[in-house]
Amino acid sequence: MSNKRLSPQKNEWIDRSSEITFNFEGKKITGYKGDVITSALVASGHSLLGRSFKYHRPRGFLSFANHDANILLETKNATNIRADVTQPREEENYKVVNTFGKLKFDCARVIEGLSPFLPVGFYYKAFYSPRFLFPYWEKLIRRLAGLGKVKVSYDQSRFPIRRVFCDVLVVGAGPSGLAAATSLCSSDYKIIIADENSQLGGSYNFTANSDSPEQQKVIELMNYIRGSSVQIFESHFAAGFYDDKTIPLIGEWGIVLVHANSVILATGAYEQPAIFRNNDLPGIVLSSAISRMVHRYSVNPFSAPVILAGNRNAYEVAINLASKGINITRILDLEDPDRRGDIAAEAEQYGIKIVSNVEQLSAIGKGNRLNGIKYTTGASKKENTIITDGLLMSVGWNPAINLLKQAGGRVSYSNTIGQLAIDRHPEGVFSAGKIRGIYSLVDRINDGELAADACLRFLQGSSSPFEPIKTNETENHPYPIISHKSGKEFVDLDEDLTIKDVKTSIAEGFDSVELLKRYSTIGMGPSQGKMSSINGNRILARVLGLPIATVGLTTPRPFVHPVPIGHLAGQRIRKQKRTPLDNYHRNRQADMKEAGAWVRPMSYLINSPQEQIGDEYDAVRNKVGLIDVSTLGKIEIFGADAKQLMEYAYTCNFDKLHIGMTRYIFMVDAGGTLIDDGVAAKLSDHHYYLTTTTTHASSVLAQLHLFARQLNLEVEILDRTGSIGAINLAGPLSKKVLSSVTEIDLNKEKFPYLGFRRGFLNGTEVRFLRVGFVGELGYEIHIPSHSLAKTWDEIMRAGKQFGIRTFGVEAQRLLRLEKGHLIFGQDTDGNTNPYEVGLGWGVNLRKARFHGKHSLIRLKELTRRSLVGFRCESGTFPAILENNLAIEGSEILGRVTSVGHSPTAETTLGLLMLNDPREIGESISIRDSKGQMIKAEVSATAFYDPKNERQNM
Amino acid sequence: MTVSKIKDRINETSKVSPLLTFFPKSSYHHSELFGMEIASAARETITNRNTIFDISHLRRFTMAGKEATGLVVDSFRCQEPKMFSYVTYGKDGIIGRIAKNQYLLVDSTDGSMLDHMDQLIIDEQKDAIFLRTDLVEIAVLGDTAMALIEELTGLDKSSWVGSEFLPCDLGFTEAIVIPVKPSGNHIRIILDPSDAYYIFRILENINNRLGGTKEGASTYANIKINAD
Repeated sequence: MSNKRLSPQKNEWIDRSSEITFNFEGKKITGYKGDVITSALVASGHSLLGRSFKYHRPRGFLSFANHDANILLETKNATNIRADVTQPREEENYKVVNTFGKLKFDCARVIEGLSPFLPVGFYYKAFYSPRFLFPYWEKLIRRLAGLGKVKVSYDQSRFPIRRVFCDVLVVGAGPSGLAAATSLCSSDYKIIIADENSQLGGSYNFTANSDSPEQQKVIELMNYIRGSSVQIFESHFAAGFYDDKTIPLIGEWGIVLVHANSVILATGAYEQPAIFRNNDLPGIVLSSAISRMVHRYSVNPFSAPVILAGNRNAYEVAINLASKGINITRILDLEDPDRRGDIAAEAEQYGIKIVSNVEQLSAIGKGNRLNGIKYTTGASKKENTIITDGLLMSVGWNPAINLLKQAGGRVSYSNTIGQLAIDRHPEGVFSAGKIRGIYSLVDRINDGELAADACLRFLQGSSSPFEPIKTNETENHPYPIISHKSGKEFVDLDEDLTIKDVKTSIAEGFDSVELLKRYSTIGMGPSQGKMSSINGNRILARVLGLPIATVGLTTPRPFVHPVPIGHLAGQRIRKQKRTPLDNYHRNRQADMKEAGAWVRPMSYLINSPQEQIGDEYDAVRNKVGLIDVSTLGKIEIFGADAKQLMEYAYTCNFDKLHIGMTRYIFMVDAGGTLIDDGVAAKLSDHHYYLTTTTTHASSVLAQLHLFARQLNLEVEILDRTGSIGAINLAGPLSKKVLSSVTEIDLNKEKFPYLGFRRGFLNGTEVRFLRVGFVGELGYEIHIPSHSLAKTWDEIMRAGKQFGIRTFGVEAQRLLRLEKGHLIFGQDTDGNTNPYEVGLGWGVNLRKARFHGKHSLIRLKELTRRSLVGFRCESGTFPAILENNLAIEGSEILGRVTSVGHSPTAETTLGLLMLNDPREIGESISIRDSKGQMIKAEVSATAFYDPKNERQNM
Repeated sequence: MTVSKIKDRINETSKVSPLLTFFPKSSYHHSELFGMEIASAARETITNRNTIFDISHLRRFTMAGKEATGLVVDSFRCQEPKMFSYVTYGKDGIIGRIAKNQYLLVDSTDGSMLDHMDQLIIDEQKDAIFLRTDLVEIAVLGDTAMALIEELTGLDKSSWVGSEFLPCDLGFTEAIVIPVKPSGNHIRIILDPSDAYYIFRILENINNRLGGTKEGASTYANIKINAD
């Protein structure tokens, strides 16, 4: 491969003292630090750098600015790497996406031979019949379609999303953006400037002479900004404009989410290609692309390039490149060069031959790249041929209005400047430079300063309007589109869409920009129409015989450039609450499962899960067990109006709750639906301590705060859920275990069932609640979080002689089911009221008021549903599951809410929500998950110790 | 009921830091500080400007009730803290107002705040309640502090005011961020123990990305002395 690198030049972006080596399609490539992949490849003589999406035509660099999707690469871990803007990694292996075999011999290029049979809308026309071929087509299309493959072995790196705040965000660090940011520096406002390029300056040195005063001015601006307090984000592109001026800046290693008070858009313009036969061949590039290649990376890809001119910029580029020693042989002007003024003569002084009024134009390919040009002129219809390896297109621009439109700005086509022009800026949003059709360097600098002035006035509260420079400059050829009788004039290179395809779509009735886009797929590729939409509109307007200003625009939605999904995922923060005993559980092979935001031990896997649950169950029923219940919500209520709050929030009456006692409580919503239950302990006349279910701790807390505010209560509400852990010591021997580690009197008379005591355990002050969920003598012990682990260890040591076992959630659920205790959210649903589940005893309708009272008065009369128990034939353990239905004939009687195999009852039993009441002892049938009907008998909900004798011991 | 009784009730020897698993004994000295088993210092101290510390051993209490403000002002002879602001007490001690009638007290690193409260008398029947409040606290020094703020919270650093608490959503959990230095390169974070594990893991990822290290509670006290 030849070396296309120029001799070192001032302000180049590469560091020639540091080489970087990587592999491309199996070949070793050496570039310099600062190179992007494309520049390193082109410098080493590569011209074929990709394959097109549909026909697998050869592709090279085109915009060299991430505005096209010609060069998409993949590595072992990543896909769709944009070679134009990505710096190569040392020793990385890059391969082109969407090829079958080697890039040069891509087998799928045969598809181009089938192109006459693949018209626009082919999918819609071909794949609806016959139906039996659907699976075949699906398989084929899935294999052929798409760019790149998702890497299953993706890099596990996390990409942070940072939030930063500023007064002014300047998007684009070209001459106008730099001028704007510099003007703002004298204020105290916080300024951020961001640019997708790795260095400031934009295109400042592309056209003017390197020693021009304007160019020197931009260099001064760059130096000033670098030394100022302005926060600079290079290599970050603005991906979208969201509410409240929130703009994500996408960098290689993550997203910076900028919240700005005002925004200056100096986003520039996308140079547009000309359309002619074979205009997609490698070697046909935009003039700005070659300028970037030469000025930034010191690479001259072509030996004798030709410029296709549709504007004055073409001549400026030609002169600029010629002054750098680039051998520009011809300018093929689509119009009369006299329109360009003196600059045409200046170009000729560099030995550049100018051809005027070019009419027919086609490119000749050879060896997967451009080999020559054929053209005719208005003066002579004779076809001329030029042998060349490079054609530089300079025919016009399309302003980068994506962000402005997303911000709510308005644009329309201006016949004066031959491109889209901004009609209205949203409040606090300003624009400057090429985005507004201002192309001369001096005007772009002035325009940036004007935008900064307007921005300052806005920040200071002035409502004076933004009055930027008025421009009559036109840098756009009105119709740079040359049809050829043999076709292959590509309008959209992402989608291999030709003039014929666009015209066919219009002829088939898709004659509005939105319909045309969706049917033909113009602008739907990775470039999102940056280089195709304006030419598509030109063709549409001409076919319809309408002015281009009337055909409208498609909506440029985020993202401006594609954003990797890994970046959007960010840190991938997964909230996971852990109890203070989490390590203990894990060290004992507990089966840890997520329960809402918490992770809890289901059982301790010393034996098989079923055996273990059985052993844990036995320990609680016959000896003593210990479970971690720290996930319970815990709330402290203190103040003169504490009782008033409790009375309003809960359905029961607190008059008879004495200090040192607890009671079961539940809360309903305004409609009378059960939302949470727990236990309330009275510590003093002004002090209550209550628990909530694990799931509803935060919502109950919010509800209590709301009530306190609504009722204007003098009360303090403190969330203690995390700072206090809780354990439940349960079983007939629990009192013996506890008495060996605490000095408080545990006698029934001194510490009765539902009692509350404060005392010490392992030297730590704790709270004891004589309540239980599992139907045995038990103590819920609430311990400061940091002391829980060592206290647990102490209890386990003390309980060893009594056969203590830890038990998990699975055993607890079985134990409570036998006792008939409810789990809110499982045995209740979004419509369940207290009367349906046997909790009517806990509703005191005589209270003056409580939340949900009025609904409960009505529901008491209307309720028909009823939660009952059911048990199967003794000695059988049918596999009934939760949500299985009880059925009679064709009628659904109800739904199973909880079910388990009871060791005590020696059968399957559970709770069942019946739509209509049934008598205890009645026979019902439950359909299991296999469709079998299982006979069961309606029973009371408490299967175990219905008189509460065991927990009252 | 007097606070001296409360102090007596506060056990000094049975606590374990919820973050202890992040500091293996092979790399960190474990010590008992204020009754808590916690990493005190790395076995090999590496000087790094980006460092995170577990300082959960500092004892924390909540005082709440209509008399809480008067009790705080009288007993600590300090000005009434503004809402969501704090005043310092002794060495690194914090008296912070977290609601109209609620105060979070973080003991000083030499324990002098709790010693002082020995003289405090509170009638828990009506005036105020005084509760041991077990929380996790992490100190963050260096660039990691701002990275943490930018990546895990929605806070705008430019709006920080002197000694204000920054109650915020930190990686989907409620936390209090205390900007110790206005520059933002030294913050303390107080959060619920149940959220500490996943938050610290994320914080460690950020810190590792920035080439930072983690250190023990004693080292933090020493670094602070030098920094001050």
